[in-house]
Amino acid sequence: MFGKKRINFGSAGWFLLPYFLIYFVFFFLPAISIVPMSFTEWSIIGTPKFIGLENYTSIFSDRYFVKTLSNTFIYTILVTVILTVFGLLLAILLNQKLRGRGIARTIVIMPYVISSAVAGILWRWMFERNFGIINTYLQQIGLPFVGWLSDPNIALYSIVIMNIWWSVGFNTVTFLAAIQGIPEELYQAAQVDGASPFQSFLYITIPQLKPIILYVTILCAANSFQMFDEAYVMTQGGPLGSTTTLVYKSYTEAFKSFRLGYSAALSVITCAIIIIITLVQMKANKRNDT
Amino acid sequence: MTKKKTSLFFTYLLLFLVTAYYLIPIIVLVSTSLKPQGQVLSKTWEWIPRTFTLENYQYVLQQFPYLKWTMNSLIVTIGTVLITLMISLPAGYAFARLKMRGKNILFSLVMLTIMIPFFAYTPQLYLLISKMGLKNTYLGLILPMTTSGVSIFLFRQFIQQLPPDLEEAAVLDGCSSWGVFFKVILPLTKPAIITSVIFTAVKSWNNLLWPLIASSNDAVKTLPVGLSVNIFQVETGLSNQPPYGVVMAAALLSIILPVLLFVFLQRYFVQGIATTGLK
Repeated sequence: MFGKKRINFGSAGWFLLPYFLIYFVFFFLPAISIVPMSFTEWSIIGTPKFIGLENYTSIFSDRYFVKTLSNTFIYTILVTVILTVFGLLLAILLNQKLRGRGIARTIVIMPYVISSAVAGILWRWMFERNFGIINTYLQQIGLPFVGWLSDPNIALYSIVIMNIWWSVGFNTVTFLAAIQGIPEELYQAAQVDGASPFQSFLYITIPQLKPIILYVTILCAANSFQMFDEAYVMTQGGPLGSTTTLVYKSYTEAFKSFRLGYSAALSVITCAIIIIITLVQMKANKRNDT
Repeated sequence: MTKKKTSLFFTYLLLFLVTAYYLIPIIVLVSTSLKPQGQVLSKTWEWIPRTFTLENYQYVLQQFPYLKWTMNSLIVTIGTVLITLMISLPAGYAFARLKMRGKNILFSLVMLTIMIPFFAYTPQLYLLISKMGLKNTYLGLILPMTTSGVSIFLFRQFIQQLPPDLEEAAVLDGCSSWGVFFKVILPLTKPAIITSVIFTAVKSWNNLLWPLIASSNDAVKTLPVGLSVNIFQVETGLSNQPPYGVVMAAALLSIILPVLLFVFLQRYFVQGIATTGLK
């Protein structure tokens, strides 16, 4: 191959220009301006007033901020772990040669195309305290009503349950495709060696799926960290702020209380958290590679 | 043999339970929407309504600009998909193949859109859109949703793993870089394009946060906003009980189109999701 010169396909400029025009105006400008905004006090009317670090100090002294932060992290971790594990188990089940497998697959994946507004209100109706289907049946078998969305200790977990229904299908499809890509010979060889189905799962399926599991975990974490729709539709962040996440908090601060500087400071803190997590993750990945 | 049979039995039982978990909410949705107002809040749960009625559907279509919202959602979704493809395909190609100084820095800038959450800069985006006069316009709803670098990343990865021989041949035949892009790259990139279309379309059709902020006017309001704010009345909180019969009728109407599309194009959905996972 030596001596063969790589052909120059031309310059990238004109191919990148359309994207970067839109990027600069609708992403870069607004994203960069949250930093100066976070040092001001502004309620949309009038001009922003410079107040230094006051927004930051009031965020960190607000005990609801700790609550919001812990809500966001509990929710993110729960959803990520459950959706990854359950998605994988479901993919294995739907990969078995069973009758009705095709229809079952369709039914499991279908909620993916249902909007968060519809999924949220549907589950809010099923979780309804007095007339919802779940409490009606609980009562019939002699159990007490559960305040699925009205009990501050339970509401966040109810949203997790709704999410298992709404978004596990996506993970299942991803895993199904990956499982079907594992070479059949590996399993045959293991069978010859006398491995049980569980052992082949543990020593063949899981290691083979490692990159996909990582991919699904990251995607799940990124999505659930930004949870807004479910809290907006099902609980409005309540009861007692028990389902208020970072996104929901910045939304209400900016668009309900009109504290734009405060909301910007929240965003800066959020971005800092994300950057730290990403850096730690990159470091961990590098260590795994070497 | 009997051990095999019992394990098969439990596998089917599991399959049945899982399917039921996914199907029951859909049955609840359909059956509530067909119940007359007086039978919705009942002490016992009825799977099949005692009396069927279409009054909830009639109410939704008569009392709300439902079809207008649907049209708006369609326009915004199609617009977002088209513009995303128009700007991300050339950019993905450029990042995969073309030479330029500072290309890597530019690519990190694109990746920033994936790292920085959308909500972090929505207030600033809202101020910008208002200043530009794009509030309550389709363009104001569409353009900010096209900056996500996910499609660019997908296209770059996909094009990188194509063998460059065809492109080299085209260049030797005197094709310009745009010629190569349109005649060689585009046809080969079809699987990645399908993936990008599905992701962008589903995300845009279901998007709630941005349209909630940028469209207050029925002329451009999208379906998720009209449903949540006007029909589901979510902003009044849990103390308020929306009329669930009407709510479920409106919800059901809104999922007919996406569910039909999904059922008929399921193969592409599955392929599309799988394509991203395998990269």
